[in-house]
Amino acid sequence: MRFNLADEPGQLLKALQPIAEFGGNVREISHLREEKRGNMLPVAVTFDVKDLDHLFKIRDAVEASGIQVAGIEPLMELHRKVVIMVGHVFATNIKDTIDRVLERGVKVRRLVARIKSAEDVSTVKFVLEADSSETLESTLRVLKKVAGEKNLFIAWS
Amino acid sequence: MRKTYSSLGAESLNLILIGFGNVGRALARILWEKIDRLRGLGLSINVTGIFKSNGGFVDSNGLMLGEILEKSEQHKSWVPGASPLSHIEELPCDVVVEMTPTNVRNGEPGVSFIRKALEEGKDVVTSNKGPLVVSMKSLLSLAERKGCFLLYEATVGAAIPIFTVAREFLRHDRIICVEGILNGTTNYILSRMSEDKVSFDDALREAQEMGYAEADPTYDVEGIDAACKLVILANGLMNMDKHLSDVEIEGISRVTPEMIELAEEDGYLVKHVAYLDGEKMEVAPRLVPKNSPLAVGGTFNVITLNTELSGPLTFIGKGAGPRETASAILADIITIAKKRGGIKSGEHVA
Repeated sequence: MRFNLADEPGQLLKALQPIAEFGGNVREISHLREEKRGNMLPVAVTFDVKDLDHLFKIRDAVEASGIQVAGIEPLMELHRKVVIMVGHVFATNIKDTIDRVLERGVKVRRLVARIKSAEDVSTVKFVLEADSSETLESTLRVLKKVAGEKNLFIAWS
Repeated sequence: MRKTYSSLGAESLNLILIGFGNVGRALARILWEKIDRLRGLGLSINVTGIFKSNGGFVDSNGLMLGEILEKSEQHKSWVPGASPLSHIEELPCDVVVEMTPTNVRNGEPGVSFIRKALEEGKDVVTSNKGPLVVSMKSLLSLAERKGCFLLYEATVGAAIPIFTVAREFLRHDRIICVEGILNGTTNYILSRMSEDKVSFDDALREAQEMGYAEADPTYDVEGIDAACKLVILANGLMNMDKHLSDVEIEGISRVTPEMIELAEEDGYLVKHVAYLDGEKMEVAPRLVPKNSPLAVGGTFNVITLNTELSGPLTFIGKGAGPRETASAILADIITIAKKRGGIKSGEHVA
């Protein structure tokens, strides 16, 4: 959450009070001095909330105390899985394999491949990220099915 | 009404051993070596019959185990062609110890031996997965009808006392899911591939040379052995009625050194993990964090019980080996003797 605070003593405390009152756990506070406009100093506060409703409740409380909220950027905790496939991963259309992951709203963060020769099997790792473990689990089920169809050997974290 | 070994203390607990391979011989040796320790427990064990596929050693007064181990079929008690099926009725016998080779297709000959023993009212201890994988429910209900014990601690994780812990300490709790590494051979292969960057084929050859893997390693490396143990865990710990066909199985023969290398770059080890919950049973290669309790090396087995009240409980131990397996069998025999009143409970021998 970004605030525009008057650059004078006590302002930050005033902004933090509602966060503490509503049970937001503060992780980080950054004074963005290079972005200072006149006497107004932008400050970014990162804190944990239970969900979006919790976040909005804190925002309303901050604003009610007379502090200007310049913006909110919710950071979702990401769920990750590392998946490694062995087989003719490229010859069996890796783009299609990945598309079937992507269409479920899961991001492929990293792809590392070990390839010996066109005839040999290759080993491919990708890191999947999603905002819920359920999405990841259901994607893995799809991936296992795809691996079965394409005779790829698969292991995941 | 369950019987009690009322005469124990002064007299003996009579055993019949069926199967005299590595495990059977190790048990005979331990019974022989630990005779004083067992007597200290108030337990005097008498083996009245030892049966192999081609005959048996028989002496209703008790066999001299040391001599039999030394002389084998040259021993005077050897009766060619003797079958346990007829001798279970005739010989003095309280507990039948069934240790024939595992057959996952129909469980034989173990199923017939166990059934016969239970029908005759004998308690049974087995190290054989076959009969349990094929017909665990029906054998356990036969045991219950006959008021007999059927204990099988040695079938999973050798000396890891997983069923005993569940039976004695977790009766009030609920096991939600179980995961573990249930096959020492595949764990040895994967550990070697990871630690010394050898190929699957080389690691397997080494495992065979060390005596960890059979000449035909399919049963281990394709995950069938681990799946059998998972079935026994499901039925034994979670009161299910599962069979081998209920397990999704993927072996490790397609694991490449590159797979292990790529996993390690992200802090993972490739392990052959068995998993079981209320819905799913699976044996498959998984990426396990290096600091996970499942990241055990060598031929070790590991089992984690995730429970409702006690949280996760993890057990690590040698998952195979004749002495470790025989030790679990003996522990089951002692459990039975204790439950039958043959040993004062809580008695400890230093």
